[in-house]
Parts: sequence; structure tokens; C-alpha cells
Amino acid sequence: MNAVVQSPLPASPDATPADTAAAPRQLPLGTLPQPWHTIGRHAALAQLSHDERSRLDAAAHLNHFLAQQVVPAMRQRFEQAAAAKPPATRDEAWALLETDPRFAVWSRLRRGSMEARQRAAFEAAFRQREALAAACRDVVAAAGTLELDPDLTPPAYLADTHAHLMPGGYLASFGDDDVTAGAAYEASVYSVVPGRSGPYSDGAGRALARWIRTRFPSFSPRRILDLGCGVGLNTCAVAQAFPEAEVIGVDAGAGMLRYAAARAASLGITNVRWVQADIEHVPARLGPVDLAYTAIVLHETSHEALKNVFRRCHERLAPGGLTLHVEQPAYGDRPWFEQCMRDWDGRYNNERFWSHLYELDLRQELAGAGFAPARTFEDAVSAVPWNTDPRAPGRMEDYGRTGNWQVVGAWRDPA
Amino acid sequence: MNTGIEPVPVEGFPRPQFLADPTIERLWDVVSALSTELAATRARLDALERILAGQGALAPGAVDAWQPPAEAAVARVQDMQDYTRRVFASLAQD
Repeated sequence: MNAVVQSPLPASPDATPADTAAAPRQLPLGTLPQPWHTIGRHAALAQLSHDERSRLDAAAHLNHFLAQQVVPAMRQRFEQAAAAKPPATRDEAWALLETDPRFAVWSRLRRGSMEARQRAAFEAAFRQREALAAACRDVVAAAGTLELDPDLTPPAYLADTHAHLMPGGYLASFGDDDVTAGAAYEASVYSVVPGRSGPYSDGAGRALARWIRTRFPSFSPRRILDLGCGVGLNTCAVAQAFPEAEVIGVDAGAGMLRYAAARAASLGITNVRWVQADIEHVPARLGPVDLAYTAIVLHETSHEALKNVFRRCHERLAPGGLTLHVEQPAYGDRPWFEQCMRDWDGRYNNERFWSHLYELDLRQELAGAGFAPARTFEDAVSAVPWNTDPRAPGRMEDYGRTGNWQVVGAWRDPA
Repeated sequence: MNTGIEPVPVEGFPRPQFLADPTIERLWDVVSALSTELAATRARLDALERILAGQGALAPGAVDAWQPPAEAAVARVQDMQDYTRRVFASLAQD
């Protein structure tokens, strides 16, 4: 796949990232991982001890070392072997890669660093779960933005997969006011990226908003739907980018939404409603919207769910509305080594729908959901840098961890 | 801390084994964990030294220049010997 602009997109000016003066500053570290303590603060954030922060930082540094210092030599050995016996399929490429003994150690350590980060963040959130629940309870009640559905049956694929090794998964909850899952999610994601998505880990949301503003400066959505909003990292970025709009964040996880509502209120973001629902069955009562999007969500859903999500987007969009989906780029005809590196999460990081998603043609899926094929498009989109540039010289790709994504979308026909 | 909550392996997703020898596999886990704990300890020591220096309680370079008094030196030698035996105990076993 070529990540190039296709019709009906206009040409893109080279936009400069917006800077938020009041936001916390990350450290000028170039390509090195940001230490955890540079995370953006708010009332719902878990408080990590020195050693808890250090464990997350140590794991981030190990992963950085693996990506920067070990992968290049692995790629060289792979390409030498592939020159002698070229793989014809990704499975054959995997088989070739797995003949390298150092790939095994690399994988063991990479998996270990993911386990360590998820566990460290979860343990920190879990030990202070009562204090966090108390801190969020009043904030959420005062905000009045949370709409839970105690009768919701969450999709099985969320209930029985602890995606990316997240202890308890997206649906974990330890009481009526519990926010452990949300607090652990934000604490771990800042370490996993690490810090590349900005202090508030909202790079995809800011990228999406900047993309809309750059490509379609006259498009001004009044009602926005974020499907699979989780703890609302990207939702809040979109809400801040379109302060006049009403944003509706939809997710199946009550603990995630309680945290999202408290976090948003604490950050002074008031134009988001947090609605508990299955994104395959977005309630009609939420009404028509001008923009319906997902941000780094589709790889957590089954193919069947994805089809339903795209159908709901088509149904819920007002005439002339826009649907956008930000994800890792499809495998397409990328080099075998890169495909295997990107596919690693699908094999070894509890991402059960990962590999299949990146084989799909999402424009075709959108067409299947009712959008006119000629009004679908795809484009490349990068994380809006905070005070570092993801494309800076010397920065190496850490496949699946760097904020270089694709956006796939479609316009609904005007009435 | 044991929270009792672990990632649940789903069908097709057992904890992967990357190395042929499961003992070596576990050894890498232990090495990674020790490396993480050592990193946290080093960072904590660095924080302590900087805090004490900031309060004027510790001169720059004081730790490196420090010569333990004889009694402390003996205790430290014994402590390091005990530590070495604990860490490498398995090598001394049949």
C-alpha cells in the first residue's frame, strides 16, 4: 500500500504543530524515552512511587535499546538469509526470522518489557484503587457527563482478551466507583509509547484534529462521535480542537469511562459526554453526528465487529458527514522484515485481531458498510509532536510503537 | 505485590516460549527483573545523593572519596561475601 493522498482529498499544506503554552513540557531528550514523571497531571492520575516510576522507565529504556540497537542487526541477518532463500509469504518470512537465535532473545525481552510495564502500572493503580475512586467520585458527579448502562452486555472479544497484556483487560472493575483499569491504562500507555504522544498521550487525537483542519479547513463538525474512546485520551484532544462541538465518547468499559469523565473534568474539558455502550450497537438516541471516528481502536475488534462499527458510522452520520479511522498502516506490500516486526504484536502481545486487521483494505470495508467507494480515501498521518519531532533525523522506526499512522475515511453523501 | 490479576491467556495466546530451553527462557525473565530492580535502586541512590547534596549534607564526590572506618569496612566485606554466596548459591550445589 502506498500511503499517498487519493481522491477526493485536496493537497496538503505542510502544517506546523499547534503548541499549547500552558501544557507541561517534556524534556529535550531527542529519541530517548521520556521519564514517566513528565506525564501530564490531573486529579484522576495514579500517584506512582519513585521505584514504580523507575520500573516503568527501565522497561521503556530496555525496549528502546531493543528497537534501536538490536533490530538493525536482526534486519541485516534476515535480509542476508532472505537473499539466499526469498520468502514468498509472511509465514515463510516468520519462519526465516525465527531461525535467528538472537530474535528469540529479543522477543523474550520485548515481551518481558511489555509485561513489566503493564504489571507495574496496574499494581500502582490497584494498590491505590480506593483513593482513586474517592478522588474521581465527586468530580464525576459534579460534571454530570457520565452515562453508564448497567444492563450492557459487553462484547465477548473484550471480556475474554486481555489486550496487550493489560491485567484484567479493558473491562476490569473492582467496585461501583472503581477506576483502576483506566488509571492503569493511562499510566502504562505513557511508558509504552514512551512519551512520544505528548504528556497527555493524545497524539492520535491531535493528529486527527490537525488532519481535518489541514485538509478540510471549512469542515466544522457540531456533533462528534468517538467510538471506543477508552479513557478519552484522544477524545479530549478532539474536544479541545473543536470546542464548539458536542463530543460523545462511547466505550463498553465502565471503569474506563469513570476515569475518562473524571480526567476530562479535571482538565477543564466540558464538551464531552461519556456513554457506556457497545460500539457495534451505538444507541440511536445519541442522534445524528457530523463526524464519527475511531482512534487506534480497530485492531482491538474482530472483523465482524469492524463491519458493524462501519455500518453504525454510516447510519449515524448526518448527510455530508465524515467518518475517519486512525490506525497503524496496513501491511500491504511492505518489506517482509517490516511486516514481521509489525506483526509481532499480533503473535506475542495478546492482540488477537491485529494481524488480520492490517491485511484488510479498509476503504473496501467502508464501501461494504454503505459509503460510496468514490468518496472513500486514505492518507498518512503522524503524531503531532509536542516538543520533539517524530521525523527528526536519527529517529528509528519502532514498528507499532511510533506515531506514524494511516487515516482511512469516507464522506457520507449529502442529502 | 500480588494482585491476583494476571493477563488471561486466550486460545492461541499462551505465554509464548521463544527459546528451545525453558530454563534459559526463565533465566532471561530473572535477568530482566533483576536489571529493572537494579535500575530502580540506582535511581533511588542517585536521588538520595542529590537530595542530600542539595541540603548541604553531602559534599559532591563525598561517597566516592569516603573511606570506611575499620569496623564498618569489616562489616561491609562480610556483607558482600554473604551477598555473593546468596546470589551464586546454586553454583556451589551439586
